Amino acid sequence: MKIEGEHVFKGPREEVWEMFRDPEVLASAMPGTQALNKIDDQHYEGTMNIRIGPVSGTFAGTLTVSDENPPESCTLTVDGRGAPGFAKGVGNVHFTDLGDGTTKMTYSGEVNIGGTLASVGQRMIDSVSKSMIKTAFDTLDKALEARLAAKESGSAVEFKAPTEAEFAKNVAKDMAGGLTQVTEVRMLMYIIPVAFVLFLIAFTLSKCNGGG
Amino acid sequence: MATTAPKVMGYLPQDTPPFGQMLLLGFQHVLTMFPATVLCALLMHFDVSTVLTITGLGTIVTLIGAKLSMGNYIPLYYGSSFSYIAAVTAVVAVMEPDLAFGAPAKPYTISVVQAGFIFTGFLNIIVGLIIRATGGKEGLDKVLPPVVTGSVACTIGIGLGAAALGMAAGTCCGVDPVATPDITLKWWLAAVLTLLAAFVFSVYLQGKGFIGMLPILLAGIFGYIVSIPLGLVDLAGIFKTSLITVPRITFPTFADPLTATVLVGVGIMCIATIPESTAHLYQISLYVDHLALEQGRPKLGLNRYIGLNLMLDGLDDMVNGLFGSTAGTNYGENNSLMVITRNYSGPVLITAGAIAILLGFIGPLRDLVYSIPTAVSGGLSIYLFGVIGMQGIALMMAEKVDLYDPATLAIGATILIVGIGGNIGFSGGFLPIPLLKGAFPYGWPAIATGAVAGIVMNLILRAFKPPKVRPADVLE
Repeated sequence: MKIEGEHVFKGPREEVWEMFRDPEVLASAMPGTQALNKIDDQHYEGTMNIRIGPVSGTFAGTLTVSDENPPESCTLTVDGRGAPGFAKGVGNVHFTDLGDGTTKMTYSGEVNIGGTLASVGQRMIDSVSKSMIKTAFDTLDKALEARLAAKESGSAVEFKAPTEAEFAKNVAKDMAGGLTQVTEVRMLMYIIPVAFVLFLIAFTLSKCNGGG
Repeated sequence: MATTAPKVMGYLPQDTPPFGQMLLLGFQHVLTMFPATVLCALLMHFDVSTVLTITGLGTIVTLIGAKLSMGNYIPLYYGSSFSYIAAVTAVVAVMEPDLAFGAPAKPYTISVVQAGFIFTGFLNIIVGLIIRATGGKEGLDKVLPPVVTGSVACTIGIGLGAAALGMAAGTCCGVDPVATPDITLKWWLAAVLTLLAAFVFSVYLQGKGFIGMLPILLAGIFGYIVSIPLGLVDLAGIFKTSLITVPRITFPTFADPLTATVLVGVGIMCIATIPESTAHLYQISLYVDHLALEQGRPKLGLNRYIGLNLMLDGLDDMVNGLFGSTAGTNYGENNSLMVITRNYSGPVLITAGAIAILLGFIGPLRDLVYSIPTAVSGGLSIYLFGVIGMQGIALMMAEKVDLYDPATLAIGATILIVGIGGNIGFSGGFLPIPLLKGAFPYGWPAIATGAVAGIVMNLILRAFKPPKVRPADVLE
């Protein structure tokens, strides 16, 4: 499965980079991460709880940061294994200073998922991963905001990563959002308000010309 | 939208032609749907202006609905459906027995009928969702197999046979063949000449471009002109109303003693429009993809949206039902027009809808329509009602219904006899069954009863598999 996209952070590139390389923040952005222990500057080790559709389980894995070119780019390699299957992924991350105090992050990569996780959750992986990425950026945005605010006031960083429950809630909400991608459901979402508005118009007009 | 100039002329649903072309093509659409829609309004005693305006509105609402829900237009024009004529005239005849042909019924009568249109829209939406849930046409065919839908379509058309002849002879409208034989002959003459013109135009103008699309309109104009020397046209009424008249809007009522009859009798007619609408979708999808292929652009595969298409049908019925117009269906005539002009543009259809809305406000046009002699409509009806019946047979042939299978025969036979016999033989098309008097005070609506009987028989077959003793190929 290919993953690619971009995201604009509201902060200078150095700040964004610094945050990105903070294992605590990174762990908070990756939902269900229970621990992310630094082995050295390039290697991390951790466990992660993942739930895709009917399949859930704990993954143990490593995260490697390579080709580091601060504060511009790096390559991330994830290798995870657990009872429900395995996940492997390589991705390139690139930060561009947009010049107006914001930073654009472009990412592209390839993730391979296997085992029960892939066979059972196949149809949902796409929307779940989209949802995970979205939540991750929401978290990173908040973390960045907190860091910038802390820097300004000179106080310590006050940022609380969302709990796993909060994250699960977000994914659930997004999955409902996935339902709204179904054409017929979107049609219903169109029909109901339109019928209601037309109902009111028809009622008013019929009173106006003495019908009904 | 498409910035590269396509090599092959033509417009896909997402394309917007230049403004001048939009108007011209839109107007062609309106001309194409005009005769059938107007005739429907006259036959069902609905106000012609309202029907023109609201079917235009319905078309626009459905097109936008498709665009918003799946990102592109489904290029179909929604006019009035013939499938509802029998059911509606039965109700109107009970409420206003002495209504002349074409005369608009009282607002209250219209309101009672509108409830049925809302319900039929609701049923369409439900069926659309069921199709989505069960994964396509197979699910639909299990509950509504072609032998049921085809036979119901037959019933709706043939069941109106006596009404068409009554209009041609004038017996519908107080012309007495014994007391005034010469007037009766004049009616017949106008009707037969109109029928002949419709026959000649639809056969010999085939493939002659846009004019070949308008045999009914041309036959109507021809019949109208020959009726003038016969003294059947009342020209005095034409400039009676002012140039701009506001269409009459009526609101549905669900609180009449006849409401249950209307809901069942009128509502269930969606059985006939469902296969028709699905066939139209398949047809237009084929042509749209063909054009896309020629232009080297991605295919749209609109035939994936059977469920959505039925929901759009339902939405259109609801729009019509809310404002006092007749239940609609997408028009095969307009499909043919799009195929001939290679123009499947959604914006053009929206323009057509807007033009139809405006036409409803033009008073003299309304007067002109109301001055069409009943005999002329009768001549056209002999042809058009018969065609509905023939289309039912065509549907069964296209779906290769096994007419040697006793189960199929029994289902078709029951639907045809209950529906046609009941609709022609009993007053108002109500079967004299004194059960459920509360819901059906005038009797059971014949066509709907036949349809339900067919559906139930088919469900029995699904529940208890019959033995296969005579494979079809043995008989060949």
